[in-house]
Amino acid sequence: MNQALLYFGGSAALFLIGLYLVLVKTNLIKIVLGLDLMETAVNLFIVASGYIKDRTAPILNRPDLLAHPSQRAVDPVPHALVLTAIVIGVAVMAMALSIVIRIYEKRQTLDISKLRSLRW
Amino acid sequence: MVNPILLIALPLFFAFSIPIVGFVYRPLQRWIPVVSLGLTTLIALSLIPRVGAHGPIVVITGGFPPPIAINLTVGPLGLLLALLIQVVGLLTALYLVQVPVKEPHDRFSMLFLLLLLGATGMVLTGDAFNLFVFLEITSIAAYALTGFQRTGESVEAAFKYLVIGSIGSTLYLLGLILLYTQTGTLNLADIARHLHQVDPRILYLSLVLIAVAFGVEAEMFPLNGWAPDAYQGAPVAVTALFSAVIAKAGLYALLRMLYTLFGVQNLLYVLALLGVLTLLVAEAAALRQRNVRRMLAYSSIGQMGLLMLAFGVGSSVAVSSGLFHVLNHAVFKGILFLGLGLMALRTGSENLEDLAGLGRRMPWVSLLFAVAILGTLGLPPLSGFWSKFFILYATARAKFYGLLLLALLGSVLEAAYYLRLLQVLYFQEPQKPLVPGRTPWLPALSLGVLAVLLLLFSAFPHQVFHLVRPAATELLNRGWYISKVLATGGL
Amino acid sequence: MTRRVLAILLLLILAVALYQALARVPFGTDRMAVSRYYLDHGVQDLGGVNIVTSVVVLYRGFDTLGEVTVLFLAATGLGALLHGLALHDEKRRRTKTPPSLIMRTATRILFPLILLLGAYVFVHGHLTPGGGFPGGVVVALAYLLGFLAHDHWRVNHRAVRWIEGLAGMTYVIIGLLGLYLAGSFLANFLPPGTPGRLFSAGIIPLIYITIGFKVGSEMTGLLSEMKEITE
Repeated sequence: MNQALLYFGGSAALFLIGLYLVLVKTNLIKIVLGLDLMETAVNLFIVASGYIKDRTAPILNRPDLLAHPSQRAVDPVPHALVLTAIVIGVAVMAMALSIVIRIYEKRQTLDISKLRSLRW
Repeated sequence: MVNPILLIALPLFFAFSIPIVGFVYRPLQRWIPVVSLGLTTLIALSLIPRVGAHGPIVVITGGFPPPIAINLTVGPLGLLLALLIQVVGLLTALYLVQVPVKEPHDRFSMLFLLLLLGATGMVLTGDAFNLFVFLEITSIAAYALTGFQRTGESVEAAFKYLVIGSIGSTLYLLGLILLYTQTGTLNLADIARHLHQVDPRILYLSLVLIAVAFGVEAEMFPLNGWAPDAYQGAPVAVTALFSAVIAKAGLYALLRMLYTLFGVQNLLYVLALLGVLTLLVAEAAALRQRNVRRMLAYSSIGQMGLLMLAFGVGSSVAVSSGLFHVLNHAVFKGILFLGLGLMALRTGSENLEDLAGLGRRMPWVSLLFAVAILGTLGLPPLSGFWSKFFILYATARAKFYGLLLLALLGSVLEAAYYLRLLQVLYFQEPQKPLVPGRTPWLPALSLGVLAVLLLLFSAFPHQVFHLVRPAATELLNRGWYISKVLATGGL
Repeated sequence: MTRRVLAILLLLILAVALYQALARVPFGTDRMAVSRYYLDHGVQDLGGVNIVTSVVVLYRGFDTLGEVTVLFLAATGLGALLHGLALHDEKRRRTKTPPSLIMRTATRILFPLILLLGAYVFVHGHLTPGGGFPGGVVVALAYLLGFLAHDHWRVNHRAVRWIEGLAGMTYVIIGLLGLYLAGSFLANFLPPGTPGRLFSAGIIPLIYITIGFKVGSEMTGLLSEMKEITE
């Protein structure tokens, strides 16, 4: 139960912190950080949801593992999903930061309240 | 038989080849999107008879049937939208050959191709996580294209779009994983089949998260704050795509989730309500615009609202006419945005007063523009009338009289600003001389093809209804979709 | 201020909803459905002992192709957005400390070793944790070290784009070979071999090597674009 609280509660908390940053902060970089925190929170949740008590990684390089793999190894799919999610997160971050660089070059500020068309 | 996977694989191959083609023979580069989209259009066309005769084609990948491996489900609905995406994409690509956007051209072509590829993937995939991947492909390409002009406004719009869009896709991923923890599968049909195992609280949270996520892409009120800015900041041809196909892909995903994955027929009135709100707010905002592009952007959002109303009513008539309206809206907005692009080439501006008197100075483009406006308004001989009329008729039949009244009010607002636009175009004296030059012929060809489609839809509304009916059946018939997909295998 | 209050309100609602839902998600229990198939049949089907890799490259290989595309998009989009940009920050340029001798010497020794490690990681993706994406990133890290250690170090952009284009095309071609030789896109068309050996697991190593090259060249391209705007 405690572990569940740690992983699920932790990812929920990270998610909310990230969303708070995005909604409230006025600095573009902090908003991007908030987005990244939200993604990390979901990634943590994905990995935690794949965990099964007392089991090992799904790399079946030992005979005892090969005999009954689905009784001995954890769920491999969340691992595969999180790999994809991380790579997509990197791509979004790269886009976000390059847009921020451009905004800074055009407007000489990172403060969202000073940007004309960015009020929401 | 042509494998439908080529609709995804070919554009990918061409997109990856663009830098290399650029090193080998540069002038060839700008034709690659045209070639790729031409081929995919042919492939999509060639699939129509088979899907029409035998129902959905379940395309397996990786050598294993669903739900083990990812599959594409090329049903009537997916194919209809995929074909729409390829055709509008092809016409836009032709437009872009002679009216290129800023440097770097090679990167623009890659982003352009991948944007359309992502949208095609979204409407064809049968796997929920794969849908997330294609959603991200579409959105990241869209962020980059929004900021492509690299002016202050366009990069700010791109940032806004990126923030809202990536919150949306993160929410989708969260909702999807919540479902995965309960069902242990990621295939859309397989999740739908095991939905009864899901704890109701988890189910409702993930329903809300997923609906919000695709509401962003489908420009649903109040999640559409990014859309007017992005429409205005992007190059005009990309705006045409956003309006004509990308928003449709988002709407498709939303509908697929609501109708097929969750099967929440009893909650669809919420969608109808939000649709009407989207319509009203957008049309009211459009009234105040001086910039024609922004005005059309709000009008496009309003039309998305009308579509949501249609799919929210959810009767067979409503869904069929909604799909008809999807086609109409794509053609109308394609003509309007591409036509506006051609006008702006000569006037040097997209402001309302600078379009004054173009009716006589650019007669052909203005004529098509005017016809598309009248079609959007739903003037009787044009195809817009049929789809709009039947959407409103179905709303009345479902006894949503309040929504019907509000939708009619929205149409009145729409008529107000569109008629003013027509008045400026045809009955005001021009203020300043045009930039000399002729309208290039490839963009004119694109507009011409769109106009022919418009005329065909107007002349044969019965046949169009007949064409979209299987797609409507697919959407409404959840059990049929699930059994078709899982017929090939299953655990 | 109103915005902050509204945001906190929204977060509170979301927190309650998340609590309600997450409390119902069982932790650490076996709820596998499709995964059971992957674990039980993965080794016979494909001959790869790392099941995560089999899922990533074959069972859900179509996602991975999409993932590679996303990364390609990011590199393309970033290049487009930063095109022609030059940020000149004179003050920072004057106050910057040049890389030290230790840094430069260590980099010279470490650079080939890091490249080798990256290659090892992606070649052994079907046997050990890792694979094409981490391997590619390790390769890019070698270049990052180079950028940090030498102010005027440049990569050949033309070569980077050749590699990323060719690797991407190769990936699609492997997929199409699967379509024509084994009946479906990205299907395995090579023998599975003996599980646990380097030459086993069918097309998995081929795809991971392709991905390694692609990710390595793309991340290197991203890093160098980001670096060059400040020069």
